[in-house]
Amino acid sequence: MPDPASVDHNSYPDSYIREILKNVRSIAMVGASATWNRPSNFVMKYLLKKGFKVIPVNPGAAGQKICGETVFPDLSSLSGTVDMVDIFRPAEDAPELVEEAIKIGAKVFWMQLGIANEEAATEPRRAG
Amino acid sequence: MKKLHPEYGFNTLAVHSGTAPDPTTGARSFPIYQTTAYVFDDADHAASLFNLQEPGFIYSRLTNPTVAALEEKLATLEGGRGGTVTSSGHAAETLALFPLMAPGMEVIVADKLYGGTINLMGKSYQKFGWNAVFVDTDNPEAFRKAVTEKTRAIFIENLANPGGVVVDLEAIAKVAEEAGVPLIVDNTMATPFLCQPFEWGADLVVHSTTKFLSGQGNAVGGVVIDSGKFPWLGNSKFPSLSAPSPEYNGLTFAETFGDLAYTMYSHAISLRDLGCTQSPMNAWITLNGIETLPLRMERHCSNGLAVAKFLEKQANVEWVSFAGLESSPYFELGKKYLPEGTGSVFTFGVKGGYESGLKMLEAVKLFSHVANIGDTRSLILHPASTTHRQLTEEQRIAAGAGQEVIRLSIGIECVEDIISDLDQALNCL
Repeated sequence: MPDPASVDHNSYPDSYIREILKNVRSIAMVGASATWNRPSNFVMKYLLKKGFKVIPVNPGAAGQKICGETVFPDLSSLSGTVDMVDIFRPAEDAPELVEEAIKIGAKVFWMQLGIANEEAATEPRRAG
Repeated sequence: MKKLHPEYGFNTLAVHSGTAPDPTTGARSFPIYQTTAYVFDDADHAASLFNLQEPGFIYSRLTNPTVAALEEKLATLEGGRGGTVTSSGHAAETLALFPLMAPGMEVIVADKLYGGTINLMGKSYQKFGWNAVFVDTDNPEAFRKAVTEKTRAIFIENLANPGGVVVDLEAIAKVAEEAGVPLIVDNTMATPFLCQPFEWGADLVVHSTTKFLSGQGNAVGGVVIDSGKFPWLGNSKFPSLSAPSPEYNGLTFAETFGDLAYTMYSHAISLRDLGCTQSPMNAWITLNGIETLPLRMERHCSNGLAVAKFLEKQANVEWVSFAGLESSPYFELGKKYLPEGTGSVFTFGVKGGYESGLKMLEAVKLFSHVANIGDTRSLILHPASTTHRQLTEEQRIAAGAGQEVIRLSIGIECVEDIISDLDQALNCL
């Protein structure tokens, strides 16, 4: 995989995204929503259909089910690791979530379209 | 020309893009999916399709596989992100503006345009409360001065019909960018073979595919192509794309679909509600036409230039308006934006005005007297009494369609035969 530090985070080449998706099987989705018209619901449904394991994380809906999958309150309560953490949260929540993602051993941190946080983007690059 | 594909050039893409062999039957020519509806796998599949959560086909007013193949081919050739094919070029103009406009809002429009567009925008759009503000095509500063808080788009025609006017795309794109509104370019006359407006900063491109794209005067159609570059997300000027959509259960298109937002909106809402869908048969004819677009355009351009040069030398021809002639005020802009050729649609004025013009129409034999352009056949028309008839005399002159003006669309016949027909007709005057 190319060095994340050298990639333009506003416009990823297809080859970079392809490489990531090839190596990812399990995804924790922070901010997953049960409401059909929210982007997270679109993405979760799509990823499940494409064969990924998706674990919804949302403290407000913990214990409930989204797209048939049980919702966890936070990343630290997941049993075991995931390959990717995908967040649907405001930019200011990103740094804290990055730390949690690193703690549980996730390799990829994916943020929503239009959400950016330079500090949060630098931290996981440092952690590899 | 910008590189459209890492591996293939324009002519290869014109033949192959969007039209891979049919996976079910192996059919090599792309099938005509002449169907209205598509069977759902189950209730959940149907719900996902209606929610736009899964790509697929619901009903041919919204999407159809043959029409989708044409959308992919056209978007690829223009270097765009997505396309929406429509029932005609006029439908494409309305569809292009539909996600952007609202009652009381303004679109700045070049004054040198196809007459039908001037009528549509200047008159019919008033019924929607959309206001068209016409400005001098040749003066980018006039576009800048016309910008107000209500401006939602700038609309121009590349190589404008009928006189082959070359517009300063880059300068006007800069005005649009500074105004924070999309630039829409009608690229019908140039086609992506001669010019790709996205390369010069346009945000949206529309076509009448009826003309050079389908190429043989047998299928009416249009398309809107989105560059995918305009920043809709969080942009309060364009609530149709940036805010929860009341016409789609509160879905926010820009947030959910990113650079495909405009194209998704155009199918899920514009085509759904306005219903100006293209038939699969017309899409198939147009797909076939585009495969030979590069070959035809080369011939159209070389024939067009030869005919313009011939006319310029004739004693009873007053003037010729063709950007490929050094005498044209658009010669330099033509070299910049259309280096491969300036098309084959242009105008000239005969001595003796209106009467001589009509005589000329009646004297030609090879030329067909029709209200169309971009056909394999050579065509002739008197705009003032036909396509530009509903305009005022002042509008006609501004659009380059005064009383003495004759419009030609030069076909791909033997150039000596085309010239010989015009020569005998001029001798009848």
